[in-house]
Amino acid sequence: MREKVRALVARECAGMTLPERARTWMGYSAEFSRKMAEEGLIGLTIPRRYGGQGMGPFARFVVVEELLIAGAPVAAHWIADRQSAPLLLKFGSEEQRQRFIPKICAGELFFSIGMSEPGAGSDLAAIQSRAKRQQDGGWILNGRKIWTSGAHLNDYVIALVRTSDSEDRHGGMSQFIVDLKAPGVTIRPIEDLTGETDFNEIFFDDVQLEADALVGEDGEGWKQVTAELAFERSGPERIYSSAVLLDAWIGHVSAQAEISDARTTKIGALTAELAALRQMSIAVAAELEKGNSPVTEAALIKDLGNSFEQKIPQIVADDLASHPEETPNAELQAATRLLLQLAPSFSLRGGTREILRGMIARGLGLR
Amino acid sequence: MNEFLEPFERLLTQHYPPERLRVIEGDEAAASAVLGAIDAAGFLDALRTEAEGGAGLSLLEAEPLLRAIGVAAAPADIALAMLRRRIERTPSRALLAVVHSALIAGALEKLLAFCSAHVCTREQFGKPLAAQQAIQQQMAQLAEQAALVRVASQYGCAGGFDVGEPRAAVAKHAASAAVPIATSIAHAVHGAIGVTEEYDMQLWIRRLYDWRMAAGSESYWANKLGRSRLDQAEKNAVEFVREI
Ligand SMILES: Cc1cc2nc3c(=O)[nH]c(=O)nc-3n(C[C@H](O)[C@H](O)[C@H](O)COP(=O)(O)OP(=O)(O)OC[C@H]3O[C@@H](n4cnc5c(N)ncnc54)[C@H](O)[C@@H]3O)c2cc1C
Repeated sequence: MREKVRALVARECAGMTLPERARTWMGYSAEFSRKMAEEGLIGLTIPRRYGGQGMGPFARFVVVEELLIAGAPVAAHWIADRQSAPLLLKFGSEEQRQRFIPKICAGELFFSIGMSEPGAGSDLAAIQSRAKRQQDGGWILNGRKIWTSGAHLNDYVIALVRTSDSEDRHGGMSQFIVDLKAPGVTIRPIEDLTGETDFNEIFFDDVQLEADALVGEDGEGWKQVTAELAFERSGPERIYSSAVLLDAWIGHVSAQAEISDARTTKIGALTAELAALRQMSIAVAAELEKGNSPVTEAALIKDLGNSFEQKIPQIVADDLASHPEETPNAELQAATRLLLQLAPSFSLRGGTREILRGMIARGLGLR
Repeated sequence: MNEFLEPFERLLTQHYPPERLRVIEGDEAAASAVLGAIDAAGFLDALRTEAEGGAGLSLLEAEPLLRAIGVAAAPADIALAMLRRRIERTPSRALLAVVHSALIAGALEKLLAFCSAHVCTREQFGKPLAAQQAIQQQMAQLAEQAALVRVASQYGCAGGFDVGEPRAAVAKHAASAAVPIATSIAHAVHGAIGVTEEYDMQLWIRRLYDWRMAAGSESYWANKLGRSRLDQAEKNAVEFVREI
């Protein structure tokens, strides 16, 4: 498995610059995703009858780890592979599974997550977008989503919307598969602070949905997204977002004639942390293998992992600028600048630090 | 393994109640008398090979026992005595570091238990401290450290009696680095009661300070690991840590 990924990355990513690789799972290349599919590297944990590989979470761990450390551009298929396909497998109808999952595994269909709205970030249950059932069993969707990664490039979004009024804050929500090219769907890309476009705003104006656009049960959306978010949080991507920069910095330091003790200690501390977090991530994969959904553990490792990923660019920036006698190459400087700007999002996307800690406190029985 | 753990935990609770922990801290004769009782129950032979009449546990199999010593704030000497009956030479610093990671993991478990119990019962502003979000956020961080060190301890012990320095470095770095974070939080959420002689948590706090420094602190091990990482800078991080 490992060798297969390494060979693919060596072949396909050789020409990428360090700043390009440093974007890790924000780098988008539909072409690279299709090459991965050809090698059978998408849908690893999906059963073979739906075009997957029928393997366990450990196989996925190995592949994900190798892709991230190489800085391969995996964003195109990332969400479809990590979240959408497992969600459809778990809650979708047989027809939905047949229709979408094989194409996801083939690298032909890419998905986005439509959860956040302008008025509903951490408080996801505050969503206002609404689908109304029609006479013919179909639905009409109105509302908007925001921060939707990849919506300007992907094929579908799985949107969480209201389908009924409910006394219970977490009731009355449902998930729908929405074609991003459908009439009534308007996508407005939002440029990020580095000048790149990753996320978008989506407007739904009287979008017509077939009856079979509903995923799972009407009104069960909250339960379904909770399961989906556990898939999202448990993977090794929560440790490796700055690993490309870490390695490049270590390369730079190792090339110096003299290396201070303080510098060596910093490198060792980050390496030790990475190794320990990796073991934690493996422990979570073991829980998934047993069929458990380790919600608290996933929150725990995401929070620790995010803090680790976030401090790397800060430490590297401080270190480089405390050695004015050295001339780090332009790519290392550019990658550092880039990650300084990207790193704050690490603890926002997929649930903020405060929200995750709240989940851990719940796991401890404090709330 | 489990068949040893429960009786061992019972034995530790019986022989190391807080009153006794207070006494043996400054009294070597008293400490070795208690150690004699543990020996009499056979537990110091947990690691000794079966051929020599011991239980022949591997270091990983014994990890829960080592952690139990930490949970009880019992002396590290128990663990060291176990080691001496398995390996002839003086234990390497790496092995000692791994053993202390397990002790720290255990003491952190207990620290978390002290804090959970306290914040759920102590009331201010008409409700338990646990209802305050600022407290919940700190407790979550404490739980994160306890979980991380537990994994690190198991990882270190999986290296066996001949554990290499890089693996020991990963384990002891995590364990030692957790101590200042965890002890500060534990004191913060307790308020003044936490700094009294009377409140037993202080026994665990002091052990944690000692064990953090025993067999090398976090920076000692970070420096060692940093050297070997820099010597192999051509590898990427995954290749390097997989070979540890
Ligand atoms: C790069 C990036 C990509 C993203 N991609 C997607 C995507 O593809 N699909 C999607 O649906 N969403 C996406 N998001 C949105 C992400 O899920 C939200 O940003 C996140 O849930 C936080 O919501 P918010 O930004 O509205 O912040 P807010 O909820 O307004 O939070 C602001 C601050 O207040 C804190 N806060 C809020 N409530 C509480 C509370 N109860 N207690 C304590 N503190 C609190 C938060 O922790 C945070 O520090 C993306 C975000 C980023 C940065």
